[in-house]
Amino acid sequence: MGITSLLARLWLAAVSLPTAHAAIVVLYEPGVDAYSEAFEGLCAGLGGNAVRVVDLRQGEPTLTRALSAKDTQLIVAVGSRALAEVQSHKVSAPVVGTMVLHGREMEESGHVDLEVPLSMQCGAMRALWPQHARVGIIRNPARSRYSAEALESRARKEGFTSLVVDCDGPGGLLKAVAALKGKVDFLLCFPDPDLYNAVTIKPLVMASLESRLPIIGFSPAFVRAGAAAGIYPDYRDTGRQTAEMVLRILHGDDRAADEGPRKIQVAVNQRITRLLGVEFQTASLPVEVLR
Amino acid sequence: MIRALQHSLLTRVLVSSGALASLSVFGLTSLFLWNYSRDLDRQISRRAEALAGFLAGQSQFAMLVGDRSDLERIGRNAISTDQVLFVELTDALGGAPVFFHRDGSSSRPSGQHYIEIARNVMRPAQAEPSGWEAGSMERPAGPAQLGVVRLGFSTEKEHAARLRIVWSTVAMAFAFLLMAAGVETIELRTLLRPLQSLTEFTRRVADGDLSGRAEVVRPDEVGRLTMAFNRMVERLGATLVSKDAAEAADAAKTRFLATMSHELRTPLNAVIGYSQLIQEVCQDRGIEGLADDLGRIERAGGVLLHLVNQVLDFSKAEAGRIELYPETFLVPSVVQDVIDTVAPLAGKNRNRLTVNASPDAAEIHADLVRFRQSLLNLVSNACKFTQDGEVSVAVSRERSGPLDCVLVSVKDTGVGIPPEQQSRLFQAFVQGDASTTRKYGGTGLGLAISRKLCRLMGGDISVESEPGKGSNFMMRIPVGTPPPAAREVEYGASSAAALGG
Repeated sequence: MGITSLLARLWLAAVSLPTAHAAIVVLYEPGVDAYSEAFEGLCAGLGGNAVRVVDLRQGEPTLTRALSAKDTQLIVAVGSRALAEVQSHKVSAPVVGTMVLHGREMEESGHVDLEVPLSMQCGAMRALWPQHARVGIIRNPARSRYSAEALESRARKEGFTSLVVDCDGPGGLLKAVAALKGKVDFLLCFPDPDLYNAVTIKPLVMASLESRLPIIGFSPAFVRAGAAAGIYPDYRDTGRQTAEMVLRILHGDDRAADEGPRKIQVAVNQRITRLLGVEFQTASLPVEVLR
Repeated sequence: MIRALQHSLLTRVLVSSGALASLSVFGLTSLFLWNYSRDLDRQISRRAEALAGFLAGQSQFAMLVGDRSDLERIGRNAISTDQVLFVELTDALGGAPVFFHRDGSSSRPSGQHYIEIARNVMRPAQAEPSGWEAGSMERPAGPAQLGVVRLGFSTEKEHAARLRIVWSTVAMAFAFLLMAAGVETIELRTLLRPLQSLTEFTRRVADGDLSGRAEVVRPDEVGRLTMAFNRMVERLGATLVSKDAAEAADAAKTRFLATMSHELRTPLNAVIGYSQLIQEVCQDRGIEGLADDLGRIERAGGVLLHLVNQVLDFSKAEAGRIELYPETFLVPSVVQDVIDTVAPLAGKNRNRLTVNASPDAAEIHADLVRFRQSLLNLVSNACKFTQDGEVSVAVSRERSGPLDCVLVSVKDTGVGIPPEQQSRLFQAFVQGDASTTRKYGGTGLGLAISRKLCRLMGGDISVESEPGKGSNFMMRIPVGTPPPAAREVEYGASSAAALGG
């Protein structure tokens, strides 16, 4: 568990109010670095507002009591699991989901999702790896909100040629990679727990190395796991962004807001890039180099 | 030990078969143990290599992406595997090695039996450059080796098993050898017991006890040897009995000859002597009318004495009792003497006697008396079986094989001898046929005696004859070598001494 998580716990202890006085309930799953960073940003953004933090691991009675408390003004669910828990309860207070993959339509709820727009990703890649403008995309039709044509059109607008391969499950992942081999300069991966998880990551990275096809992941964990580079949201800023949304909602504005990340971070796995023989331009961007 | 080896068949066989058995058993034991040890080492190596290969495969991705926590997880899992003493995973691209030891120490084990296997972790094979990397100026795709997996694999169990097998095999080999030695000793003693009893029996036979027989225990080689030995002892006993009997017979024959020689000759000599004496008395006293009768008595006695002498001579020759007294003498002298002796017989049948002696056949070293006896018999026969003819005696020297011989050839122009009778001529008591005996008389022993005498002297008698034309009897006697101190003996003195009887 990183230092971020530790600070988050300390902050929790500092800002948590006894049950009777809480106004904003934050449903939070400790132990995930990204969530901890977002939580930090959220708490910093909420300022002096009363926050009740509910640990997802505490069990159903505590959760129900917290969600149905009369003084609850708003519920913030950090992460898809927390959001699912909230959605499974009948709650009257508005809900904001943050650090989710894509938002689900929910009445009187807003969310800040993790999906970095293709335009931001292409921009980052242009700066990171100039002269390489052929992008490969593996699309899960069950999860993707965009069609293949839409993705190709967006890439074209950014000056990239793209090749989109559909893959509806982990069984076809390697085949999709093989289909892209030699035709694109890099593979752009969108967050998808079905396609990219602890089981599939290893064969995917091996295929990437064998095919000499760099993977551009969507999280620092993905980069550490073997992606050549990663483009992902600035989680702390996402937390602040969520806090701003919460305050707007509390003030009566824009309850069904649907936002994506405002700031991105880039990380490069130096070991993988050496093995691939790739040289990213890390001087032009604030890049975290993982050795 | 050396004395025992030299003097004991049992010891020699035991030592040699023991040495052979020991060599075989320990050779086979060594071969078995070497094979077992080698197989065991191979098994251990294979297991260790397989485990190292597995760990290398497991570690490949973690080393690829630099995931130290995954390496630690792999190392922790590996150390819990049976017989793994330590695991060291080294990422070639940086970072301290991940090292796990079974007992938690941070260094290599000491004082334990183990083998160390190292396996390189290589990055996966990559496709040939195409697309963006083809023709690009990008630097090569990093090192081929991602890291090293080192594994310490304990061989304590195998070492203990190896020791157990070695000790138990060696103990079994010794036990087997001891049992084999015991069984062989018993078996050899059983086999050799008949030989020992045969040896004891042989000693008794050597001491003169021919009454017993060795026991045949088994019908094997030793049993057959024992049976053959028993048969030999039986025959030896029979031979000894025959020998005793033969010796007794021989002694009896010698006594008979001596007795008969004396008993027969004495009265005959008395008859001859007294007839001569009476003739002299009658002549002195002028008594007439008795001279013819007395002459007949004397002649008959002489003939009988001659016959008795012939029979006794033959018996002596048969019994091997004739002794020769070789001396050097002149052959022509003897021939002349014989001619003079048979002259009356030759004159009686109106035969002419001639002598032809070669000058180089003068001297001979042989028994004078026996030489004269044989020659006299031949010339007498020639004169007896020839009428109105010629009897010639030729003496010459010839070489018969390695020997120089004197050849005395007695040739006559008499009746001759048919070929079928020539082969029986020298047999005792055979004269030719019954008519010869009736016409010419005689015992048929003359030629048999003459041949025996010639053969005793180292020579022989042969005959060539043609019926109606005559015969040629040839007597060959080796010239002989007189002893260094031999003197020439005068014919007259030696013959007188020899004729004494």
